[in-house]
Amino acid sequence: MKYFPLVWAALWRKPAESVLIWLAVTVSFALFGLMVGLHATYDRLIDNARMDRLYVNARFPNASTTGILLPLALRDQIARVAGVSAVGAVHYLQGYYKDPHQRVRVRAVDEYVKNAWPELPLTAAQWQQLFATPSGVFITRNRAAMLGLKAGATLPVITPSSARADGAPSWEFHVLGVMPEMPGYESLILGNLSYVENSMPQPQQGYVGEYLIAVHDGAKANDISVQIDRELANSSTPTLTIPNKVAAIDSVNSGISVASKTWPVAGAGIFMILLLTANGLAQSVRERTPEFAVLRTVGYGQSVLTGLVLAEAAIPCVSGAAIGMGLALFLTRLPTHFLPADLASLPKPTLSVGVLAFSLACALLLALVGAVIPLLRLRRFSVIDALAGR
Amino acid sequence: MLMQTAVLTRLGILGMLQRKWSSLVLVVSVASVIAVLLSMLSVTEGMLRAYRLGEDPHLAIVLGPEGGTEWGNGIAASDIGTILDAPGIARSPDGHPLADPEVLLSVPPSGPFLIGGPELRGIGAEGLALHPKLKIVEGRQFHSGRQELIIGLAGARAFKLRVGDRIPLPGGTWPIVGSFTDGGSTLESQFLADAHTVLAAGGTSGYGSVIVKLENPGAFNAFAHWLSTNPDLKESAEPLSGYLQRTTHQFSAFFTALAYSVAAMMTLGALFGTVKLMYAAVTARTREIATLRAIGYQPLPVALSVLLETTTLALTGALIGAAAAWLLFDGKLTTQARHVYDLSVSGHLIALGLTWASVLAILGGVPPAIRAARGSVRDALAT
Repeated sequence: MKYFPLVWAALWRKPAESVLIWLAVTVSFALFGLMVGLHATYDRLIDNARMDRLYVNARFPNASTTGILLPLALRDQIARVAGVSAVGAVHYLQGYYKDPHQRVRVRAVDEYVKNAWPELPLTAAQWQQLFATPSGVFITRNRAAMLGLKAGATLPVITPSSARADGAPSWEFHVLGVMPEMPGYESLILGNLSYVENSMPQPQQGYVGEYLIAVHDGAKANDISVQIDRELANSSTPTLTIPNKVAAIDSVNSGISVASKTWPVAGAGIFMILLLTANGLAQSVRERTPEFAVLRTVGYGQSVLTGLVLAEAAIPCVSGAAIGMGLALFLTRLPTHFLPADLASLPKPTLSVGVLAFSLACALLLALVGAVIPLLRLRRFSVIDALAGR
Repeated sequence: MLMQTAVLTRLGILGMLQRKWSSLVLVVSVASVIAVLLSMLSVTEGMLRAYRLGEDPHLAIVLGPEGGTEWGNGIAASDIGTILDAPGIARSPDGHPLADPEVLLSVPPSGPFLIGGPELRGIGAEGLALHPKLKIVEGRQFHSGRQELIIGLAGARAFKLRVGDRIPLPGGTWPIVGSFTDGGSTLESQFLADAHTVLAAGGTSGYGSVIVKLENPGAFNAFAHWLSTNPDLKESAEPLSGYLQRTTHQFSAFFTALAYSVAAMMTLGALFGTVKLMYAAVTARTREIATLRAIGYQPLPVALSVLLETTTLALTGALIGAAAAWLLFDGKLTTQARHVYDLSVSGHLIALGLTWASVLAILGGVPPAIRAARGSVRDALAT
C-alpha cells in the first residue's frame, strides 16, 4: 500500500493521455462485453435445447398460407415407435393484434404437450384452467408487457377471413395468466388446440402443424428420428423429424450467423487495446527511467519495480473493463425501441457473472501481456546510465 | 504556407520512423476497425450484388392476393390466361407472350435430420426466355413432364450436390440431370424443374408468381393498373427489382445496422487511442516545432502537418484493413436463408473504409493539432 502514491503519480503524470487510454479501454470492453455476452446467449440457447425432445413436421410442406398439415391420425402411429414416451400436438395460429406490424403467434396445444414439453412453466392448476377454458391463453411476462396485456384481458388475434369456418375476422382469446420467461421462447403464447381446430374451416380440421415428442433416452434421439421418418415415408404425409438440440445448433450456426462474428470482433477490439496499453506503458517506463534508477539506488528490489509497473498497467485496464462491462450491461437493459429498429431482433447478450469474470480476467491478462516489454527493459537498464541521463 | 506545411509534414514523417512503435499502434488500430467494418458489410454487399445481377428493368412479378410473396399457391391456374391478356407484355418472335407462371418449393434435406437445402423453382416453357443468361454447364436441360432437376452452380457448391445425385421429393426421388450458371444471380442457388411436374407431384394446383417481360420498363404502370382494375383478378404486380429489394431488405438492413453499430463502438475506442497517440507525438516534437515557429513558421501549417500525419497513418491502416478483409472474405461462398452468394469487398466498400478512416483521423487529429499550433515557443525552448 505504501507504494500506492508512486503508482498514482505515475498514472497522473500525463493526465490527458491517461484519461484517453482509460476511455479507449472502457469503450472497447463495453463492445467486448456485448460480444462475449451475445456468444453466451447463443451458447445458452443450445444448452437449453434438449436432445430428448423431437419435432415432427411434414417433410414436403406446401407453403400455402393455410399450410398442409399433419393428420391427427399420425399421432398413434408415432406413439407406437419404440422409445417415444409422449406425443403432443401443436397448431400455430398466426395473425396480428391491433396493428398489422404487431404479429402474434398462438401455439395451440393439446393436453399431451404437458408431458412432451415438461419445462413449460405452467402449474398443474394452470394446465387444468387452460383446458377448461377453450379460448384461454397464457402469455410469457415480457410478451404480455409488450402487448400491454394482463390476466383477464382479451386478445383479439386478427387473421385472414379464410382462417375461420365462420369467416369472422378475429379470434377472441382470453388471457388467463402470465407465465415466467422461457429462455429461447420469449414471445410464447399458449392456447388450446381443440378450440382453434374446431373453429377452422372443415377441410383443415383433423390436422395439426407439428408434433412434439418426448423420448425416454436422449442418446437414442437421432435413431428414433430416423425410425419415425422411415415408418411414415410411405404415408400420405411423409415427415421430417428433428431433435430440438440439433435444430438449435443448426439455427445458431446456419449461414452467416451473428454467433460466428462475435469472437473475431471481440478479439480485434482487444488486440487494439493491447497495443495501445503496451505502447503507453513502454513510453511511460522509458521516460521515467531516472525515477526507477533512483528507486533502485535507494534499495528497492527488482520485484518491487515489477510490481509498480504491473500495477500501473492493471489499474486502467481492470477499472476500464469494469466500467465498460457496466456500460454494456446498461446498453442491454435499454428498452429495444432505443436501438436501431433493425437490431431489435438480435437476442439480448447474457451478461452473467461468468461473462463478467471472464472479461475482468481478460483485462488482467491484457495488463500482464502489455507490461512484458516495459518489464524486460526495466530488467536490463543500467542505473549509472539512467542517472547520468543517457 | 504550402511550402511550410510541406517542410513540417516531411519532418513529421521522418519523426514517425523514430516513433515507429506509436505509429504502428495507430496504423494497426485503424486497420482492425476497418477490417471489422468491411468484413461485416461484405455480407450484405455480396447479397445485394447477387440480387442486382438478376435485375432487369423489363421484368415484373405478379403475386397472389395474400402474403405479397412468391411462396404459396395463391395464383389459380385459371387466372393465368387472363393475366397474359394484360397490355404491355413483350412477345416472343412466334407471338407467345413472354410470361412464366412459376412455383417455389422448399426441398427437404436428403439426410435424416440435417436442415437446409436449395429451393426448387418450377418454371414453365417461357422461363428460359426470361433468363437469357442461363446456360447449362454440365449434363443437360430438364425435360418437361419428367421428374428431374437442374441445379445452379452456387447451390451445388454450397450444398455439395452433383449431377447424377437423386433428391427425395414428392412422388419419389428426382435425379439432377444438369447444372447451370446464370451470371451469378440468386437463381444460381436454386433447383429448376418443370412447373407442371412440380405442381402435379405436390398435389397442388396454384402458382406462386408470374414473371413477366414487359415491352419496355415504362409499360409497367399500365400493366399493373390493368391487373388491379380487372374485376376477375385479385393479383397485383410489382417490378421484379422492387420485389427482390423488398424481400432482401429485412435481412440486409439487420446485418448492416449490426455492422455499423459494432464499427461505431470500435471506432470510438480507436478515436481515443488516436488522440492519445498524436498528443504523445506532438509532445515529443515540442522542441522541433518551437524551433520552426521561432524562425517564422506559422501556427496553421504546424496544425495542418499534424493532421496530415494522422491522416497518412490512418489511411495506411485503412488500406491494410481493407486488404485483410478482401483477402479473407471477398468471393467467399456463404448461405443465408437458403440463398447462396459470394461475400463481396467491392471497390465501393473499400472507398467507404477509406472515408471512414479519414473522418476518424480528422476527429482524432484536431485536438493534438491545436495543441501543437498553440504551444508557447518560449516555454518549449526554455525546457
